[in-house]
Amino acid sequence: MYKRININDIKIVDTTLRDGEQSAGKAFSIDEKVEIAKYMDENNVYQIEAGIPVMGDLEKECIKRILAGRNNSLISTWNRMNKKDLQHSFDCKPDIIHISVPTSDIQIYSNLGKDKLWIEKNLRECVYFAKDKGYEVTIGFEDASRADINYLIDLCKIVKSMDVKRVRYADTVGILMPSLVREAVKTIIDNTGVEVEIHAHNDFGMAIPISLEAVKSGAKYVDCTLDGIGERAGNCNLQEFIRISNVFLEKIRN
Amino acid sequence: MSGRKLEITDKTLVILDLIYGEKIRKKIPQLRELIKLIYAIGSDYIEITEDLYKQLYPLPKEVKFKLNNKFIEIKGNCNICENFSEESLYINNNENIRIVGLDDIIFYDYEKIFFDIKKTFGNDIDMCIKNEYGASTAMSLEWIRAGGKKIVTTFAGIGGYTPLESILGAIGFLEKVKIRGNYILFPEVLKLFEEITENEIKSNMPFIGKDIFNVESGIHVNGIIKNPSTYEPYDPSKIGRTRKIIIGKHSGVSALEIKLKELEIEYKYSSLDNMLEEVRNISTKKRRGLDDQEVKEIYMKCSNLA
Repeated sequence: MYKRININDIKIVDTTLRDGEQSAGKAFSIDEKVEIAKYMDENNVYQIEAGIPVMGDLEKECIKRILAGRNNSLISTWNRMNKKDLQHSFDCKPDIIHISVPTSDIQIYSNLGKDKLWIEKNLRECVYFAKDKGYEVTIGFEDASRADINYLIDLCKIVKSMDVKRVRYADTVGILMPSLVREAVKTIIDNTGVEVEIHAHNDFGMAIPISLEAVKSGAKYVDCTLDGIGERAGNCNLQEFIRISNVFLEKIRN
Repeated sequence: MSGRKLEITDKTLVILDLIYGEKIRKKIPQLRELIKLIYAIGSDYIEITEDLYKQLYPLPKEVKFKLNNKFIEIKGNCNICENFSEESLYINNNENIRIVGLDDIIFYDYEKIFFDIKKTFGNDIDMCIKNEYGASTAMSLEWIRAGGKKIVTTFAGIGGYTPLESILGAIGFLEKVKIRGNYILFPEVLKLFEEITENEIKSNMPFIGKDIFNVESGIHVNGIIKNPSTYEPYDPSKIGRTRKIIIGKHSGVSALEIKLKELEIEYKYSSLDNMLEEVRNISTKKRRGLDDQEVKEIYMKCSNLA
């Protein structure tokens, strides 16, 4: 009686090596990172967010090794919205370049001391910069859960016109709950047709149900980390999400 | 939902009795203290087994108790309402009826399920959502948002129940509803709980993990210095914790400056980049954040003082 959802597949974006490692006090050696990426690749994880090239030569060397050793997964790098970050990413030649864009007023005005015009101008420039080199680009809406949904729609329209197909909806401080993420994801998809990737944090212990509800609402990609490591109370736990989403997919198919 | 009375029954004591049996009977004073604390942080009732109730006598007077053998449990999943007609459940006083389970409702249209439950059982039915699929906190909150009045929890979610501290935190910080509880006691409850269970809770557990307000990433430290709400969902001091800046691979210049000032080291701004590079190398090599002594050594090395 409640089975009305039609979902075939959930694409996992593993960010253990980027957001996971950002967990305070955590640092992987290069060999460990390569080993983790190999494990993800062997298990057909759709995409591995391998690191932040601008952090330096060690990080870049590591990303290059991951790229050289992979067979199945797509490899992406994480960038702030500036050309210097992107230039370092180009050095690594990843499959996907991810650009993170601050979207809430608190991030734009209070943290960066900029305004929305500045955001839009830089966004266009950075997307063009990476697209011009032939890269697939995905855009991350940082702090999307505290942003004005109409602003997110405007940004989606801008990047879509530049041939960006996917945006990441980041619940940066982990304040969503299922009914709220449903509204947001549906509104974005209905108004813009872009693909949505959900990036949840576990501050209120809801990263998994938020991610699942986003999938039910049309999100095709889910960000996870091994053991749910990440800032503060962590991210969506990869192993648990796979276990639970498998039960979910099985139940809605029956 | 502001102004609406919500009733939380916490059954940590029942689960501790179930799991540890005789073992916890050697810790009677600690259990008495735990009861007081769970009540103090915001649970309205303490559910307890009859045997433990007798053994713990005399119990704290200010705390309200419920005996666990007084409940009629209706166990079920998403189809819970299908077995009950409205007539069969037309009970004048369903005070002691409790719904237990609903682990899987996150897979379906849970709002419709809650609507049916309210229609069949009323919105003051005791709601005990379990956590097989990691959704107990989320679904308990959605039940409250749907008008539900009573929920059942355990501390740290022990036994696979809805975690008390997450529900309290969410009601306070997300729904912004003022309730009686004093969240500053969370670390004290944790300490006692770990002592009783002889188990350590994961350091990143929401609201009670010891490390949840440690911060290292340059971007986050930078934001937090300007305005803590950039990267903190709520003020750590509200749950009895303090923020701690960790120096490591992901640190930026601001964090390093804060740490050097804290260590009363006079540094040159121009040497910070070199130091940061060294911090990243050593942190990657050691596969962890660095302690104060290690930061001092890096300063000495980069200033040619070593």
